[in-house]
Amino acid sequence: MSLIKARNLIYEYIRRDEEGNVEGITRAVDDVSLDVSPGQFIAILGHNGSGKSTLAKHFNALINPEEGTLLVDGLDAREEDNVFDVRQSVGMVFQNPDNQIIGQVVEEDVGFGPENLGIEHDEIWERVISSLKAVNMYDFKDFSPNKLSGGQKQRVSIAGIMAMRPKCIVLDEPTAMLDPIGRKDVLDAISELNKKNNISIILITHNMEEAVLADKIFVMNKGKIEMSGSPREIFSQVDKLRKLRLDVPPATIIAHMLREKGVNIPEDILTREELVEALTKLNNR
Amino acid sequence: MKIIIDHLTHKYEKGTSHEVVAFEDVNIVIEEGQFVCLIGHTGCGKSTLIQHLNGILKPDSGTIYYNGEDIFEKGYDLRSLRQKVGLVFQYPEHQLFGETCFSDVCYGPLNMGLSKKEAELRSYEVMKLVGIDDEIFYQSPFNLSGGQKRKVAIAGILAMRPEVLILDEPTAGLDPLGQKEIFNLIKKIQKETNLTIILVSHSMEDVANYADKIVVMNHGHVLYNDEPKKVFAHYDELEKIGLKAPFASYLMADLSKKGFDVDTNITTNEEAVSEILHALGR
Repeated sequence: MSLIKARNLIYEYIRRDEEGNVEGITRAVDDVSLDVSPGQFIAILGHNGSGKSTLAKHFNALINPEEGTLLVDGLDAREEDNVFDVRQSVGMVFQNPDNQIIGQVVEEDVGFGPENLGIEHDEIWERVISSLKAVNMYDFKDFSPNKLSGGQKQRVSIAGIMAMRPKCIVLDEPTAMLDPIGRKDVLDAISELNKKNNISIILITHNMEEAVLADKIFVMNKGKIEMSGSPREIFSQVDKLRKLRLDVPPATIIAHMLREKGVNIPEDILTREELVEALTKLNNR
Repeated sequence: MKIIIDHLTHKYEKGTSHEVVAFEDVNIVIEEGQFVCLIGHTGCGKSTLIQHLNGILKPDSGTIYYNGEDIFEKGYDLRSLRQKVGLVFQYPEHQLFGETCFSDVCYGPLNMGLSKKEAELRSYEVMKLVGIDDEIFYQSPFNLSGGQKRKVAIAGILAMRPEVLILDEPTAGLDPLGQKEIFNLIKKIQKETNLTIILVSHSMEDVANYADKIVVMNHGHVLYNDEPKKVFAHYDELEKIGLKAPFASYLMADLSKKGFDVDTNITTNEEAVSEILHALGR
């Protein structure tokens, strides 16, 4: 059974002038259907304004579709009565870590979610400890969040979501503000949660190397899903992605440029290791 | 025009038990027309440092010479310095407030005391320079895409005709083409107007492609201050301080280990392709 099942979702932003008359309508999500199964790692790509973030906000009922149906863990996300359960199944992490940390101390921040859910005291502590360990931040449990780096704060945010035991985590450009190692640490934490705890991941990103980690990629354009497939299927279409204001991972670009120069190298290379291997084969011939 | 950062030190909450050294004894010389990139892990003091360059923050010791003059000396005209050294903060689109893009860009020059006509003339010129279409001029900046908003924000600074443009992570949060457009735009402005560019970035690929010089900061100290190739040759050290080298550098190192005859000091994808073609004997 799908954890998230979306059928023909439509969402529009309506601009009004000072008198409240409609000035314009932007269809941000236009007839989107998709499924996310338990434990699946999904990446959503798309240029600025393509509707990725608007779509993502549907998954934990921050906004409701105007048309279409959305089932989250079997519950209709549009029903007011289901909102609480939907948000417990699907947690969300945003771009700027400073906007989502509220605790004075790391462990307090992580405990905020489960406390709000009415979890018992001992159980909260258990969850705080296991969540912090899962993102490799247990050693910082007594720290003030403002003494942490961006990557560390972002991992605390993820632990805060983890402590609510969600089935799925949606991350909206979680690494955009981080330095390279902060990025890597956050991605390692995400992959680990996905593999070890079987939590579904929906990662919105502009970084093509991050998208390579996903099981499946959706590419959005003008509110619609323009392409979907495995990273290898998606990134082998360099020219099409570039037209959509996107890019491909660096290994794929270099392989593409070499092909254009007549080097017989596979089109679907994704990583540095694969590129080195393919070139070594060529060289030994 | 030349900027000399001379033994500059800045501490937060100095003299209290919470004293934190933002950076210490920083010495950097920036020549006119240079494209300088400042890199370092989050919290290394980059953003604090650039806010000294137009006198928003004051150092605890050391000073900065702009055109040979000490900007922190009593009586120095900081107001006119701030027109010469334009600072584009992180997420500059959050600072847009004009009713239309055009009025937003005009705000800076009007504030400098220029006539309405002169301010509009300059604004028109820079909006053309950054590539904003006429049809967007009278739209609200809040209806634009992320990349367009950022161009409007940069135009607002350029309209003051600065000699130095400082940008703090100008591409964060933009889609890949948007990132490329902003970098190409900055490079074009540097070439066409001989503006000095100082840019903070976490994207090593972009830094390698565009910078004349890279300054690497770590825990408030300058670790390297050199041209890109020489800086990225230290990729082991860079990784230890939360950074890395561009993809092409790692690729060349791997290929070299596999017996390919390639130059391991290159930093861009284009260079990597020509090295590989050469090594394959084509």
